Amino acid sequence: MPREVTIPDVPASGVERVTRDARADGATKLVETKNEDGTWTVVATFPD
Amino acid sequence: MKYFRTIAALTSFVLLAACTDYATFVTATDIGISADANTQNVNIGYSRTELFTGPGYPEQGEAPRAVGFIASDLHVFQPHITQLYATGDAAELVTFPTKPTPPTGPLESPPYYGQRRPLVFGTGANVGVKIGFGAGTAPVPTSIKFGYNREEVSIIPMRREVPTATSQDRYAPVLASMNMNLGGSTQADTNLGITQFFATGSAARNLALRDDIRAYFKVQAAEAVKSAVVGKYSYDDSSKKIEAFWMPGGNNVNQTNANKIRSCMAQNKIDGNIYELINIKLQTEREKVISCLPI
Repeated sequence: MPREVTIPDVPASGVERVTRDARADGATKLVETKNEDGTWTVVATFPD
Repeated sequence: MKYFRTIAALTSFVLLAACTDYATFVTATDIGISADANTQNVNIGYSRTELFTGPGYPEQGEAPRAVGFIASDLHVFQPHITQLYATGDAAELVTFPTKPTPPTGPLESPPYYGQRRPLVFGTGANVGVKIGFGAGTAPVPTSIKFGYNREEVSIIPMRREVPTATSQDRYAPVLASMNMNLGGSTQADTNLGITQFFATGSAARNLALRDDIRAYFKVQAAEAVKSAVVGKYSYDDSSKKIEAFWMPGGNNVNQTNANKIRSCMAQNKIDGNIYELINIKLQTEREKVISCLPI
């Protein structure tokens, strides 16, 4: 069963590092969405 | 209009509910499909109403058996429809989870005795889809309008007596389900797959045992778990230490170190993965892991 981890308020300066960490830990899907306040929401899906 | 229909239906239910010496089971289905090759538009309309009203047996937790089923692909040019309607022993036999032995006489009747009180169970569903396709060399959907309206109601009678620990209330089972799937990338292969079940009494019990019905809930539970982890961003110096140990060069994971981190997380009963530990776990949890690592 895949596991989806959502981090809602990632500062713009940290998005690249967060997505790199997610990929390094085996994320199969990544969705990054910019919020109105300039922060980002990162949703990473990990396999079982 | 929607509320008018709901109120009208509920009024009918209440009026019908006065009768407990009749079991009334009604289904009504309307389907409309149109496709225009000139405008490249497809319209699909589907409407279905299901209603059961009759006696409930609150002392036994029973209701008369009835089952209604419809499945259709609502394909634009080759629609297929399968429909089933059954009551009594037929409803029992057709909903059996495994193929039943052909009966030589009437089946053993469920406990239909004792107090009789009005039971009402009904559903109404309306679905409308309008899809427009582009006129280019590779026609793809360029516009879509979709409407869905579903109403479900059940009035299950209880005994008049106050329940006690030794004489508890028993609810009669009812079950209704709807599964819908809109598909197609061109006008010719557009379809709206719909499967609906409606059942009362032991027919509802039998359906609830079937894998295809239970599968709906498995999917929903899986989706719920999938979206369950939402964490607050907590990256700090302790995160940096673990990250540096995990990815010494900044780009590639050191698998030996990764296993050590996971082992320390397990020892400290910290769930999730390393990504979560670094980015959303509490600083105190990260410090426990750091104190366990050869950093």
